[in-house]
Amino acid sequence: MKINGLKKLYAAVSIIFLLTLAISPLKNYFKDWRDIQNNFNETAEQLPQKVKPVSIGLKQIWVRDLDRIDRCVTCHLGIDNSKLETAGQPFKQHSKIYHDIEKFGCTICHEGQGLATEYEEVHLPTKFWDRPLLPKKYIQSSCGKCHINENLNSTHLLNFGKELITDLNCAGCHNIPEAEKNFVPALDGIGSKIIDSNWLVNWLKNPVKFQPDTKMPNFLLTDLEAKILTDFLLSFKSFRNGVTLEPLPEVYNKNKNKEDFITLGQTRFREARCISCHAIEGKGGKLAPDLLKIASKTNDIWIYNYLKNTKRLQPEVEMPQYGFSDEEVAAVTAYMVSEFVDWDAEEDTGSVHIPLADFYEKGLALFNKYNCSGCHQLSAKGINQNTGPDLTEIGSKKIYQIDWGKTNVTHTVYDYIENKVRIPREFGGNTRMPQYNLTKSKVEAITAYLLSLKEEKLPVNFIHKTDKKHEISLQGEVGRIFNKYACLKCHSLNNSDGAIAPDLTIVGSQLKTDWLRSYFKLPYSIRPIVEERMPNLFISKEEVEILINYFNVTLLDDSLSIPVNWIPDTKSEERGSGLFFERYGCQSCHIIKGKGGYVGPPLDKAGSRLKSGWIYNWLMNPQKYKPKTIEPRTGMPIQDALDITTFLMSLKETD
Amino acid sequence: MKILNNLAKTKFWQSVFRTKLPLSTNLDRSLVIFNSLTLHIHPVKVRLRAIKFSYTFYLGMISFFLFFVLIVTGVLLMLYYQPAIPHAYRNMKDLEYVVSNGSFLRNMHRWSAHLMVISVFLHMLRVFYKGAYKPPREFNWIIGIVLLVSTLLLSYTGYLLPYDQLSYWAVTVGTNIVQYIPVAGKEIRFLLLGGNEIGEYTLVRFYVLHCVVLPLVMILLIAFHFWRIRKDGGLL
Amino acid sequence: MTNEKQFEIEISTDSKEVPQRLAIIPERTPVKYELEKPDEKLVMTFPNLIIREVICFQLVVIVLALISLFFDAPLEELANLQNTPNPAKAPWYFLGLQELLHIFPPVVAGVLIPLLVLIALIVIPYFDINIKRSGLWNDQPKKTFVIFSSSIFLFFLLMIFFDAFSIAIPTLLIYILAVSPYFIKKENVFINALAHLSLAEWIMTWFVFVSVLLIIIGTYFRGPGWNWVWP
Repeated sequence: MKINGLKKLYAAVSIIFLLTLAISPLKNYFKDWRDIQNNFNETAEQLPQKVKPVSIGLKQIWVRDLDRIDRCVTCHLGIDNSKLETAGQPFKQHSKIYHDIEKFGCTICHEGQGLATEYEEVHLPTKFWDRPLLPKKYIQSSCGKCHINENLNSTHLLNFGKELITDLNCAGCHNIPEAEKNFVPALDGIGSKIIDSNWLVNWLKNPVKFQPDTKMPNFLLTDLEAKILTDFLLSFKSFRNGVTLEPLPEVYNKNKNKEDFITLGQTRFREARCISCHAIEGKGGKLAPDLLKIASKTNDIWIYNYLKNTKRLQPEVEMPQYGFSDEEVAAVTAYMVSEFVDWDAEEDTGSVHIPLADFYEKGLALFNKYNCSGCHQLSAKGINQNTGPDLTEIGSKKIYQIDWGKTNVTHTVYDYIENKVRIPREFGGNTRMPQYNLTKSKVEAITAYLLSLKEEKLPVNFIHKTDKKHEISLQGEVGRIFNKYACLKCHSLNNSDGAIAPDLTIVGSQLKTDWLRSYFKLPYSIRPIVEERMPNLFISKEEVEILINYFNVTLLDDSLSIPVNWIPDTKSEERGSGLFFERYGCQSCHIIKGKGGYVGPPLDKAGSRLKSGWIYNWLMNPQKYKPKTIEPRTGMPIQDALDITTFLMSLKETD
Repeated sequence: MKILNNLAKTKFWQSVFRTKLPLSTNLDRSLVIFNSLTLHIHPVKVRLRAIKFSYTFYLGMISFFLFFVLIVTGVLLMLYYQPAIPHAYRNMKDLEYVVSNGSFLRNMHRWSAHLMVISVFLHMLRVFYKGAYKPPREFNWIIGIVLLVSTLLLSYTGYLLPYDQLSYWAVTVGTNIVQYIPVAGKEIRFLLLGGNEIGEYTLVRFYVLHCVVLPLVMILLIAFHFWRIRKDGGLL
Repeated sequence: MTNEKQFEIEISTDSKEVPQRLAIIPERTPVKYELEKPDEKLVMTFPNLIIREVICFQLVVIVLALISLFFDAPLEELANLQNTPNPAKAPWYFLGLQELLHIFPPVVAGVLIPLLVLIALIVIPYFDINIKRSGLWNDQPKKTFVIFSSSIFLFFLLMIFFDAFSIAIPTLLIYILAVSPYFIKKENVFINALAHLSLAEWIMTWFVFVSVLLIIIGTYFRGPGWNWVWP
């Protein structure tokens, strides 16, 4: 090429060269976040509430403690601006939270790619970022990363999830932090309990069919598997520690079909308030199995033995052992056998069932395969723990670690967990996990809790952990009685578990001995609107005395004394009455002299029931003793409290 | 043009360029080459045939320019880079999302590196098929081969620096080959990685190799390569 | 070569009258001593060459800038020791090598072959016996054919033994091209061009062809477990 041609070419190329260099930075200039910021400033000017425009530029929150940089605030410009409470996204103010955004950043709770500044990269699951923004329904899972075991009011889903995990005994197969194992009946002696092997086959195949509220999941067994497992289980005739069933007493055999005997059983059944825990056709407590069809499943001799001494057959069971006489137990048994029959059950065809030759080995293999021992105890050789995956860090499970099978589930951790909980075998493979009968909200609650179990190490000062409630073990005779009547299933003592009935920690300083004595004889509901009441456990007189003695000696709070200047005279009583009705208006919540509100417990007979020191201290500061009580802390003067105490103490039982 | 000519007459211009404008004679044109540090590697006169595109396809020249672009963009990238874990990866995210034209810079660096591997290889093929390695240019051919290997090494060491999955496993595959070297394979691999596995020390080592050692080697060899072209009587 | 006699041979017994001389006439002059043609046209470097360099530079930058504007450099997730991608691939220029690694034992593919290639490249200028680069079939075509064919055949068998079809088949293709001038005597541009290629050039062509092919296979045709997949 001639030099002149080259010069022309040079001129042309130079222009293109300069143009290219000039337009290259434009791509950077036309990024979306710049538009959004301009858009914000434009709309800000038009708003009536005078929102300050922002300077154009990237904005970020750097959380040094967490080593996180979140650029979300580049577009979410109104996060801390109360004037933008009703604005649309991305400018809306953040809903009220208890955390300082500057101190926590965004992605610690919301996840997503905080470093990015493009919509898809930040919010959605992309090829190289598998932790997209958490959906709103699972946001509570992030609370659980720091607030371990705290059961905060604002994390109901998380709390519910944890409750369900304990309730469904997930810890039987999985290692889940903070999850506790629940009581599940031991299977020793099941061969002496079950009437009909067909019942067990059907039960194993679909437990819900027999008992809709059962916690036992469906293992989707084949007919053959269910039969083998049934034969295997029914071969266990004797109970743990060599316990065998006592024969039914003469009185039962003689009277079991007699009406007044059955009526006696029914009366005892009512008095004992069995339905506080056991529902019957769905009505009643949820703590224990529904009894509607029990007699078609369990034979009378087992029922008799069990009622007589529950812990003899199921040492860990929480059901109290009632202080019935043998005849009463027999009567209750007769009542139950006559009443709780499954009328829909198939007629026993009477054909003789012949077990397979190697049912024991095959049954044991199945028992191990499905890790039945994760929940049920069975004393047999060759049983081993065959647990499922460890879920300690399930919330951080990486997408590549997940086998998605043939599902078309979106590839995110939360979708995975949700679908896995919903239909455990959906992802195919050799999963053994049984099918639970869960509603959508339950699935979501469990998912939320599991999602909170993360691998990431957060700084210690971010973690708020409530220690597990410690088990109380009472020693000696008192311990035996507490255990026998399962007191701590309902009542709490020194921060132990029971949450159904009042705390017993300082009961000795609260309640009067005579009242306690009569209450044990015939428990009633203190509050008329609360249906739950203490069942009549038929505690023997000697045991009652031991308990009351224990209350009065040990379960005390020495600070619950009344000042020495308390003079319970008539003047004080009259003044107290005035204060009670006029000044503090207590009758709006408490029933007194037959009138008043239903929110608090009635105070009609307070003088017979409560100790004066307790009334006085309670009046001064109710929240000190029950942090969540709604009784107002009025800050009344000492004299007022003393006078009201005098007044209340004067309200004795008349008869 | 007039302004340029006037400017060229100033003392300052002449003290810098030592060339008077306009260039009217061949002597002037020679002096442009002569008096310039950057241009004086050229001869004053070249064979017309040798500078035709169809003769060399300018592959050596293109390789050199790619190398130049790589140095410029590389130095700019170094300003944003920490050879540490996980900062290195986060720096990539910063380049992509925060640094002005960060991704453009990184793209430039990446693509010129790939293109340079191709152009250097093609340059070698051109030299081979044209027989341009023949005596007395045997040694310059060897320099060229070393330059090809350095190019590959530069590209390879740079591959690890983003410290993402792609780079980590590519480098793992590569360094696994090293351990098959008889006798001292494991030791060489250890030396290269600064440990038994790719980690922070590997990153630092590759970073030093990529940003200091290999570019220096490259620059020296390129200078030598060019010098030899002239000494061996070749004109581009 | 011309058959015209350029000299006569005198024979005599008298050494004084007819002195005997031994004249060695090389058939061809070695390139080393070939003089550069003095009549080649020279031009001034400035501006002829400099302007070309500047244009070249500008074009390089333009092309690069355009590529960079439209194609983003890949960036995957943070390196994770636990998550081994399947397959883990080296940078593209080493994929040929990785492909070899799949075929041959690691010492051969990872150390021996690269070393041999490197040595071969380095020694090219020193061992180029056929300095004039006469075509493969210029001298003793029959002998050449036998040696060439048998060595290719042995190599081919070796490759088949290693199941290295990705090398064996391109080798065969190159072989067919290389021997075609031996069989096809017809004169045409294509055959002439092939006939002019020397052995060294054939080897280089084969090397480039095989390595490019291996790189392409490694890049696009290898999936999980380094098994063959379609892109």
